[in-house]
Amino acid sequence: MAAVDVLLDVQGVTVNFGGNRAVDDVSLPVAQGSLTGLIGPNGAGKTTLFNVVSGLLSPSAGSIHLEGRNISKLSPNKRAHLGISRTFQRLELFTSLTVRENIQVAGEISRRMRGGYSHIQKETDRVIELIDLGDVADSEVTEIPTGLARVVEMGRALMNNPKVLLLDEPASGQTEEETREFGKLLLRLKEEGTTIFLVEHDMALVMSVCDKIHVLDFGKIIARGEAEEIQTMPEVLDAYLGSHEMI
Amino acid sequence: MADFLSFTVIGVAVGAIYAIAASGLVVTYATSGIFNFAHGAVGMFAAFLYWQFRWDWNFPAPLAIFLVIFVFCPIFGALLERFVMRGLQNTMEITKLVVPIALLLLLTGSASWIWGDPIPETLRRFFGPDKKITIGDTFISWHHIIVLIVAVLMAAGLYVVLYKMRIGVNMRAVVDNPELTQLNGGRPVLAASFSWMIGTALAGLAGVLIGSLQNAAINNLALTLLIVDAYAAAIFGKLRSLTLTFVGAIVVGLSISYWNWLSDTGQKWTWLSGFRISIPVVLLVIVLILLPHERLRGAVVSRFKERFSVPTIPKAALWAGVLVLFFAAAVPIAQRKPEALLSTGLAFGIIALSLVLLTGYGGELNLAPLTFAGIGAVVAYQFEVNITKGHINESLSIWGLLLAAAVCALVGAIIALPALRLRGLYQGLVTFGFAIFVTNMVFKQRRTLHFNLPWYGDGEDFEINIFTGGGLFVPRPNWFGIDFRISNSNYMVFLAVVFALIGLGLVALRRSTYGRRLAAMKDSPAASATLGMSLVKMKLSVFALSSAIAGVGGVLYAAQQGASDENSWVITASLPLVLLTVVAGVGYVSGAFAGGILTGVFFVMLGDVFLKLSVDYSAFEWLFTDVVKDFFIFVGPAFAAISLATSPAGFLNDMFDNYRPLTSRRGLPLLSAWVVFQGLFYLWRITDGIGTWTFMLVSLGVALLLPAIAQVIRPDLYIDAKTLKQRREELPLELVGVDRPITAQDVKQADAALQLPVGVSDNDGRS
Repeated sequence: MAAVDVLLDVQGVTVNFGGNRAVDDVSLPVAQGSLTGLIGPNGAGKTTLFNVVSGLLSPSAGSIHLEGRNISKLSPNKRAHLGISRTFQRLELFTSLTVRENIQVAGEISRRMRGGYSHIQKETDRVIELIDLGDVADSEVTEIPTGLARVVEMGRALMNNPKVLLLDEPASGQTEEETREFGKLLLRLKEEGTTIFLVEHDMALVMSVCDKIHVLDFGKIIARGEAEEIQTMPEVLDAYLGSHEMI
Repeated sequence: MADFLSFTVIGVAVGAIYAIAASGLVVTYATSGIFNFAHGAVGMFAAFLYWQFRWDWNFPAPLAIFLVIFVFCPIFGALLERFVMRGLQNTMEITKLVVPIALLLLLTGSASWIWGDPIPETLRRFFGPDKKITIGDTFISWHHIIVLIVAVLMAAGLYVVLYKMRIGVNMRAVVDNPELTQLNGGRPVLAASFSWMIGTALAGLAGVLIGSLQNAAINNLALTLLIVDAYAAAIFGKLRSLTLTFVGAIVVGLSISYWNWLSDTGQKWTWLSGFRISIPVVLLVIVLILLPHERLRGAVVSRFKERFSVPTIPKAALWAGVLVLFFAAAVPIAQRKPEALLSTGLAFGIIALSLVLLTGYGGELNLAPLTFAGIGAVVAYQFEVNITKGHINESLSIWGLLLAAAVCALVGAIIALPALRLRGLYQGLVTFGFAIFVTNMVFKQRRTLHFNLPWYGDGEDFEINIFTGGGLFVPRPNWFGIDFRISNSNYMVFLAVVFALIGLGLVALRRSTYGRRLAAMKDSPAASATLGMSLVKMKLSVFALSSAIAGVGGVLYAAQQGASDENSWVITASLPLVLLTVVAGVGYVSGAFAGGILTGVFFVMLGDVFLKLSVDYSAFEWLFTDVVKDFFIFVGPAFAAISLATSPAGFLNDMFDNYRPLTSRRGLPLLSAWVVFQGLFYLWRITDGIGTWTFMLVSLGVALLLPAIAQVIRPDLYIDAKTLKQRREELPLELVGVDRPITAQDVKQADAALQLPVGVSDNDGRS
């Protein structure tokens, strides 16, 4: 793969929590326009890596590059200005605001959203329609089910016109039917040109939408490849289930 | 050299007392996660109790100490843990701060109520003030030696308890991981209870030692704040490490002692004389600033039930109109004193509006709104003195008011700088330290400072004299052709208009882009930052704006009082205002109004009611004045905090729920009937058909009973409200079992959600 095609590049990232090494020398390229998956058992260090990429956590070693530029020293908001958006595994919704306001305020915060108030309103309507939240748009975010709340977080992240969208377990809390629809939505976003970096436990979803999958276990990348390759790798099966059965 | 030695010994002794107090704070914080703001007050109360036993009833010293430190304090600590602190798990940061503040007010209030203030008697040193030993040229008093011995014994005792005894292992395990401790058979509840007993006893010990060290008449607030000085040491130990806490305490003690030495006990550099008392808080703020950067985390607010709805602008405008109308209507019937009280309440309300913006909308903390208010008043006063050159009896200049707002905004932004990196408790402590610093260094300044500004005037000095004569005078305005200076009524309505306008402005602000961003920052700083928000700019702006509001309120409050002194602006005056605003509902403009009225009017008025009763029934005068009246004045505000247990979003939230059905289309006839009744009743009063007391009591009674009356006449109105309340109380499914035990109904619900066939779970919820 040519270097220019790498949009987001994680290079040699290590994170220590006290004496505990949560992420260990992880290097991971996310190609422009790809839908890249990151899987691994609970506690493997996936969310920690997302925190490093989005700037909420400083790594003990290593660096993060966006379009070839080293962004390791930048604050989270500056990274957002450059086009990194994310959702959170533990929901981080704005609970004093309605669903619509959650999405709208993201546009009002974002510097990548050009145009005035009416433009932001239009964009809000567009995103709400895109992610199909019209029915609950005026509800309080505390009143909607967790599965939908994750979609709201994604809509919020989309208002930043991201170059790369980091999704942290977006499908957990969704029904099977919702997850299938969600998979289609991810593919549509990818077609529109958004690069997506996905952490997910729902293997069916990951295997069906991701171009490339990285497997993290005890803070280390133990395997990477396309969906079919990953599913047959014995080390992945061991790490995941302790058995040779995956889905 | 002899001086150096004696100042070192004194410094170490004072440091040792701080170490005792700070260790108590650390022990309780580490096991319960609650920073006991009332720690100093507990120590003060213990010292007063000791005085009672030792010097009033003449018990022998060992018996008095035993009763206070080993009987009263541990029992009090255990009760505190069981009935107050345990309930604070999983509540919002502001609630965790405010409840201990209520306890602080309860203890200081109770001390005033029981003993009067200050106690005219002295708390003497052990073995008397003159008992000392001589080493070379150095004198060391026996009291200091005893303090050192006690501190060493306490440190050894704590070590044995924490590291050698089973209960200590249990306590340390709870610090590391309460859930895991419980799974392994440890008992977190027992550990918490025991740590509060130890913590309270240590606070008491520190109180007795430092109170006796003063060898002077004891004053409850001064004594409380003296132990507050130990907070710096506890923070130095990051509220975890006892060793670092000891080191911090000795540093604080030595700094004070050496400063005394260098400054000739305040004789040198007289304008810095307040610095000695400020050293601990200066150290506190420095330590807080140097603390490692806190990681950005979400506020996890979804777990809490504190949520505030925002009114629409037309609705807010309607209420603003009603408020002004209410005060205008009060003019013909209120006499001079109630008018002055209501004006004070309104001015407090304006200051409390700064909290609505900062805490209610922005989620940031400021425990010292009156400090900013005081700065505003001082600036307006200086402006009158220096710019308008002494025409201070004229009227308040709008420029003075604006300058006050601007200076407060600037100071607010400076205070926000350390607060940028801190949240919750630490942020509260910065504002707390700031308040004590400003009180000592500015408000207590008695000297006139001269500045010769080359570019200003024709060689005249710029003079700053704050409270030189013990008070400052801020004139009232004379604007729009209306004179507010002589007429109290005019000024009261003026304050109501100002409150209504600022309140309306806040609602509009909350509904604007800025307001939504503020709410976003409050709800999740992490998500806001990753969406591109600069938290620095946001926090600076909201601190500046809120401080400006407090400053304006301060100027108007000072003008209401005429001449105000330093005591109007101290931290112990701020705390009740903060507390009562949170109790009413800090997310609402009406919360600020209620907070202001409760602080400025309600408890004073209650006192007056009992005063009147004592005149009418003179046989019970002792009961009505000394007991009941003083109780409401001193202890009343603290009791208001009890309502936080049932209404964490403030009692107004529940009141709104009760009155809301009346404003619906179906409820309108009933509401109109009440308005007509009230109007006619008012007419009866102003035509002198009835007296003011009758009018007030009946009006208030009917207004309060209105929802109950409505429920009887039109029960159908309340069906919606009830379902609403039920829905609000419903827990998210994943918290069932955590916040309350699992019921059979929950199991059914969970089965349905998981699409399990009926009968898979048994009745106990096991699958």
